[in-house]
Amino acid sequence: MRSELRCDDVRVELSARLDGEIDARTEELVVEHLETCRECRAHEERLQRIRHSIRVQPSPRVPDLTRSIMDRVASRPVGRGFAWPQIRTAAIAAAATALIVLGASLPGSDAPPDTARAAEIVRSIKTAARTLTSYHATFTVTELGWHPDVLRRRFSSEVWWRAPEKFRLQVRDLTVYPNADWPHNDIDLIASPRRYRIEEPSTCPTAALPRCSVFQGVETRTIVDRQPFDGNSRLPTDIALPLETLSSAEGLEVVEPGTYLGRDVERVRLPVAVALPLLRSIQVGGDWRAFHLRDRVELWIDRATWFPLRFIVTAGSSSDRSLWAQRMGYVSDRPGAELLDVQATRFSESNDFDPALFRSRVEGAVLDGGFTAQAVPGDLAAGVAGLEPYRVGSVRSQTISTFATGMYFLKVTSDRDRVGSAADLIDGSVVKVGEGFGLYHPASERSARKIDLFTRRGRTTLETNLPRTQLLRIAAPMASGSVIPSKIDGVLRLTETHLARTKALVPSWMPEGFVRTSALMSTADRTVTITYQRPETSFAGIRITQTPLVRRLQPTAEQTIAIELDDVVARWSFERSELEWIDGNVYRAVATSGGDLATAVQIARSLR
Amino acid sequence: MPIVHQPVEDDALFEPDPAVVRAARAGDSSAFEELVRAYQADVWRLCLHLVRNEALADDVTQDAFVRAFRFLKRYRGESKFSTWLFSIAHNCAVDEIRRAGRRRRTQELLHAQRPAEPQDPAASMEIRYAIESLPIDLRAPMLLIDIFGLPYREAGRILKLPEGTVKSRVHRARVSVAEMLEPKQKRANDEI
Repeated sequence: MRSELRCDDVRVELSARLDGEIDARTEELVVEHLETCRECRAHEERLQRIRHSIRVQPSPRVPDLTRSIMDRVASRPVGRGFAWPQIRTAAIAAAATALIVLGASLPGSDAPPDTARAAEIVRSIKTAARTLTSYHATFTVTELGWHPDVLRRRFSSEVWWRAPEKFRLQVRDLTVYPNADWPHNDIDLIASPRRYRIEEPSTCPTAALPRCSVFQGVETRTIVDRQPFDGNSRLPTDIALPLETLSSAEGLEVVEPGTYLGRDVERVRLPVAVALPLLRSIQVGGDWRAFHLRDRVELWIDRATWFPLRFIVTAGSSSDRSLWAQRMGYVSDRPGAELLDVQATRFSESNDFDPALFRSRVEGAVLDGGFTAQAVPGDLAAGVAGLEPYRVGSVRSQTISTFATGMYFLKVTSDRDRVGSAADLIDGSVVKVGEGFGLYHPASERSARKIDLFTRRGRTTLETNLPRTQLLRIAAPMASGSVIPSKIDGVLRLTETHLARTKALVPSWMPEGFVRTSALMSTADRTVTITYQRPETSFAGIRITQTPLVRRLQPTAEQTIAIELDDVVARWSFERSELEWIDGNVYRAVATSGGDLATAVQIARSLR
Repeated sequence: MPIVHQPVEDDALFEPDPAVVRAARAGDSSAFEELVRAYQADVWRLCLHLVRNEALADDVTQDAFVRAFRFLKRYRGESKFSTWLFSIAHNCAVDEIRRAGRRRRTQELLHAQRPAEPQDPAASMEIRYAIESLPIDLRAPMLLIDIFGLPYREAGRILKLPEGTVKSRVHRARVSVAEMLEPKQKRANDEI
């Protein structure tokens, strides 16, 4: 006769018993039941087998996210849709979903650009940056298509800047929302040499508004003892002078000059991918709509001061853009539609500011930048490259010397820790500097353009918003004996010869202005990662990942679409802006940014 | 400040030195960084199994730590730090799954979608596929118990479920995985 427990109850208890989660009394009853019940004994064996199989699952290789997490804690990245996808060395794979055949024709420039005038504008801005020491302006901002229920938002914005590092931005949301549940996108950023404070709405993803489960309110973050020209709290000075946005004349289309507020203006057109430093400078913190990377920006620049007086973002018309807009929930986006219009209403170079403007209280989440200032040593008094000595000090094992004049700065960081991290290799290209070699990084969202030198004395990094050629000149005398490590943390830097020996393919097409920055191989699974960036300022790069011995793509929870690539079906992930497919038994993937599928397809086809 | 391993009976996850947590609560970023280094691997693995995609797991892990940092002041030590952190990671992953679900539903209106089954799966792939096919309410308890080896009590706190529910869901999850992996055996059992 069986015990009082029913088979269903016994089976749950058998499962718990495997985990040591059964009490003595119940166990007695279960054991008694098992003696007479063959099905439950079979069930127990089956549970044991399954539990064992699950427990001996191979553990996936875990990425080191410390740096990304600490960067985000220090300064949460702004906006959505442009995130450079995380570097993954492991291959992931996919299931084909719906099939979309994309006629990937890339919009080209209609007319040959006026390169001479574009170069003159770039030169003029570089010259103006040396003498500009203060700036004050007010703007009106109109944003369209942010949310299906709130298609038009209006803001007023005021900016104050005094060289080198006093900055204040105030954004006031003037939008009339459908009701009080909608968060107002009011932003306050106050920075001084030693402190940085940002106050912004803390909301859930735009699509979940106005109601969602996440805490809503105002979020304040303060960095105290901030190190000079800190990458985690960069000051968005392109709003005063578009030095990073127009760091190169490449891809600039100069159109007929015009007038604005009675002043002569130059008008240039450029893709969003290039204009990101400027767009970011108005969208600091808070919640804003995203742009597709090939949306267009028209920028009006004052011919006398080179201040940006107006910029308008309009929707691109590429074949993949409507898919992207649909996925992002931008229901009103149409080709050529206006998405953002920022207009200066007042501006001046006046420096007649109340000193209290740049003072801020320590509030909210507080981060200690750890910078200890020291007196400027005599040997630095002469400055570097025409820049005056600014602040000198240390953060942990690093010693930092900075120089600044006008909007320009140079930061020299020496670290006793000679070896960097694999992340340094990823977007760094090896360049000859004087007698040695350096690892060069274009300006990005995280830092200005910089060069790493590795010598016996340790690692020295020079970071600056001066042009690349000037940075290389300044670095030359310090580069003697500098050699780039060929391997860091299991990531191997590939030379051209090494790359040719792998199964990795190299694209024969890249968008205008992109150059190869690095080719790396993970020694663990022989994944080859090749990155491409713009040489001066590259807020949105391109990455090609290839892993041998992968036979199929793995299912994913992401939203994907299938893309026909000649004779194979590839998968496009909206989340990662990455196109991936299996070619024989090699996994290949092309990652762009900001939903730029057409570019990814064009590159993928050129790989084959 | 080193993270001190403080094993507690039956616990698979270690607990940090309370001084490190106190320092992080007080805004010491290097202390918080210690916590990130100590827990990111476990948090990432949990997120990976929940969201089933490495890149998303990266994002959700970051979201979880950013949220943990923001809410650290509210952590009063009533629960273990690992339980508190896992609970945040679980919430972030569930939020992400819901968002992905909404996006997918929109997509489904336009295109029929069906995940492909592996053609010739190696055994471990089969198990992974089977686990990933489980609904989230069964997958999460199974992960915490079978992958992380947590006691039912801690899993219940993370998932905000009574222990009895954890127990029955783990069992159901194991049976579901078994049925997916052993269809022939299932038929045999059913016939008995």
